[in-house]
Amino acid sequence: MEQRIVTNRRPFSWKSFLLQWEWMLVLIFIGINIMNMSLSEYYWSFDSLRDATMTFLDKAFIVLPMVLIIILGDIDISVASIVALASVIMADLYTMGVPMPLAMLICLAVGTLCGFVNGLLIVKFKELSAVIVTLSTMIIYRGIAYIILEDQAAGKFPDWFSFLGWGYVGPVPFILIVFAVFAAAFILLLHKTTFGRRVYAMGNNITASRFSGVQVDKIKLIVFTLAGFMAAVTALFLTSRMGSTRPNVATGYELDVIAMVVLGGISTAGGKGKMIGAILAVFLIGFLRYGLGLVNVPAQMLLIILGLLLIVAVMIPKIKLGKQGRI
Amino acid sequence: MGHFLEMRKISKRFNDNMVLSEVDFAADKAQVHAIIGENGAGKSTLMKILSGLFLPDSGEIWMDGEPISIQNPKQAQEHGIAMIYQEIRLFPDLNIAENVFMRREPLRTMRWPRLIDWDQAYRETEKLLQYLGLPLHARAIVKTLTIAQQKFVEMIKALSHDAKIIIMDEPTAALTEQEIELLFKVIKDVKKLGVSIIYISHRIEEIQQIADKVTVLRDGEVTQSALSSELDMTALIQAMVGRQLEDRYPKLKVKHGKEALRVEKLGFNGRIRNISLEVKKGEILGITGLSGSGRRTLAKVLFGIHGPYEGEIHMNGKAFKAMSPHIAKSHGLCYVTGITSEEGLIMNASISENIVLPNLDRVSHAGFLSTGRESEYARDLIDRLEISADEKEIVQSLSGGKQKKVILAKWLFASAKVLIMEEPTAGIDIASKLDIYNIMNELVLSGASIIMISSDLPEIMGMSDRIAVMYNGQIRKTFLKEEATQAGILYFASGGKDT
Ligand SMILES: Nc1ncnc2c1ncn2[C@@H]1O[C@H](COP(=O)(O)OP(=O)(O)OP(=O)(O)O)[C@@H](O)[C@H]1O
Ligand SMILES: [Mg+2]
Repeated sequence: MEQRIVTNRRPFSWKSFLLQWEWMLVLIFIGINIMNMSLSEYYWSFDSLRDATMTFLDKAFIVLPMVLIIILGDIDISVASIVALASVIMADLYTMGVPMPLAMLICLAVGTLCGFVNGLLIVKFKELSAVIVTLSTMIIYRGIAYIILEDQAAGKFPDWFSFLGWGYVGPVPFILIVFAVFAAAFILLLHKTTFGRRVYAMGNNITASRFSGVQVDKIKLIVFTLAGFMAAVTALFLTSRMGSTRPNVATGYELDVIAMVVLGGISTAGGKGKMIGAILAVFLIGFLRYGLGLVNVPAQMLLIILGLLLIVAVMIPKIKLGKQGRI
Repeated sequence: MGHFLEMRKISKRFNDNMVLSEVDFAADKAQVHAIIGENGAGKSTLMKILSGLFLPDSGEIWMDGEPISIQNPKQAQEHGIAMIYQEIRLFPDLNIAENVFMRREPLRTMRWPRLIDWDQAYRETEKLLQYLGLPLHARAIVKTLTIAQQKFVEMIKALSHDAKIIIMDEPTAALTEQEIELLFKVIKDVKKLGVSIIYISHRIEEIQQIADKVTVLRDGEVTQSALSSELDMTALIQAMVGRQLEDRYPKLKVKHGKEALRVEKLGFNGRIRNISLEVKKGEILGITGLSGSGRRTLAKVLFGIHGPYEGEIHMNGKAFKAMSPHIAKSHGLCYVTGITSEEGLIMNASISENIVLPNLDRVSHAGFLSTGRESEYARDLIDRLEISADEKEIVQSLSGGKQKKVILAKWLFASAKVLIMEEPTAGIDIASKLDIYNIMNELVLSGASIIMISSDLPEIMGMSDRIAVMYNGQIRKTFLKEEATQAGILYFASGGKDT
């Protein structure tokens, strides 16, 4: 029987390469910068941009694991409550005389534990969706934070602690360096490891993944635990920047974070998207906020713009698919 | 000469891939026209063009001496063309009648409001169910049915359209002997009504039994088309296989070693009960039975998908407490599922991504993937199983048989010690079937054991050392290869008891 070579591979085309959502984000990002520059003469300076990053990078730590969660086809809306709980416990312990480094470690441990509990509940009670589980723990974690601090502020941290949120290494903000390291680690994790490959597989077809011997429960558990840990990292930087904490800290972060992930082109249906997209979206939204803040555009206006961007982000894949005429 | 249906010079390409080139095809009323040909030859594509799912790049379709235009499935339906696809396309959460009357629900006579006349829908569905002799209720939810039953629901759907042409794409792929008989009876009845039936299949026995006319497709071209009476079927098939037909089941005698898997009094949820069996190294154990007899449940309990189970599972003398697919796999117990799209493949991932998924450790180092090793590994398997496709191709766009081969590729070389294969050759072309049997031989020669779950009786009888027949969740009888007869197997499969 003669062999024949079938090439059904889509030929590489610049068009489809450039049509990727990530490039769209780059374009929008450039557009925002041009707009900001024309709006305010103070915008385009190294110092101001650098300082701007410090204000929005704290929640970006949660964006990284949230990408994994959404690729899995799940969601975690308890992350902001984890930030609050971890932050409050750290502050409370410090006020009670626990040395600050130890309090910080406990902060990380608390966050990790909260994430682990989320994961465990989701894995053990298959009939409960991740939304339901994390909605409940969102309320519970925040509630515990209120019990601990009773709606008061706690703070008076040692001076060196403010370095996290405000410090520089040479000309570069410390938080930016830490974020770059974590971002690189998550890019590697998602795109270069067997773990990342399994996450994508599960997001596309969890049954087939299980039938291929993928330990689906274990992977979910790890991913949600990671989210808890990263929420605690956010808690460290946020608390340091604010110098004190209260139980209502980080309210609404979960929506910001999810918005960034979706804007980054990660499909809420699961299985699709790139880490870099979400990272771009972090900077995009951050700079947009900062620039519009400079010229005193009201916050509500900003929300509207964000909402519009999100709709575009969600629609783009639909438009592209429609053209291909998939069945 | 006027044929009822004529497809003239149909061409179709996907990207760079010429799938059909100037294909002529004709079908007549009251005729069963079989289309055969290797995997990826273009059979399904040709018929999907007829049913309006794909548009041809060029060519015409004539019906009753007039050119017709089929731009979408709805137009095809209006011309009386119905297709039963290779992959089941029903709404799993709806019931039978809702599926049958999807998008053309009967309405009440009342002008306003326009309400669906469900009574009539259920009545008609029941009538058709009875006509086919199916013991099913019109209100049964589709996902609770067996695959075979779902195929029949698709049949009923086509019939209720008053179709003039019914296309069946490998309808018998996972059907058992009785179900096939029932299907054939239905086909003959429908044929009498003057319907033209187009029948795609890889199973020789069936084509010999039912086809009035045969068209052979190869690489998107028609190589032969003639009435069965004028055709030397044996020669034709030999030409396709390229080998003598005598060795259709080239089972080798292999010396059996120590026990590889032993199961004692296994039970799960009432769906399987009291199952004891053992497989030795080098042995092929065939398991057969009707759909719903618990064959698949047994496989899934062994592989750790279903649990907790009652009873004991021992591998190489060691007992398991609780299984999971991961544990099973790491002990060398692997499972090739028979259900392609849900369980077997990640449809919108590439061939290589699918093939390496159970074998990620082989193509990575310290958890980091090596894309070079990955494509190499995938390409090697693509060659061995003659999938003839690029490893980057998305499995969604592969032909049914090639998709099946990708699932096999995932597991055949994962160094399984006990390999459970479900319907290993369903949907696979005649030549490749032989290749797969030969690979099975290689595996048992190297000391592995195979549990082959199959509805294909000649295959079960040809390839197994022992044959276990299941009925209603239990093993009713285990035959040695020499003792097994078709009649004997059917007797126990339909609930017969040793006397
Ligand atoms: N939607 C699609 N996009 C791209 N290529 C496709 C698509 N559908 C089919 N093909 C290609 O067309 C060729 C013929 O496929 P087709 O499904 O018609 O084969 P077939 O004869 O039905 O084979 P089988 O016996 O395996 O079912 C294959 O090479 C397949 O990869
Ligand atoms: Mg086909």
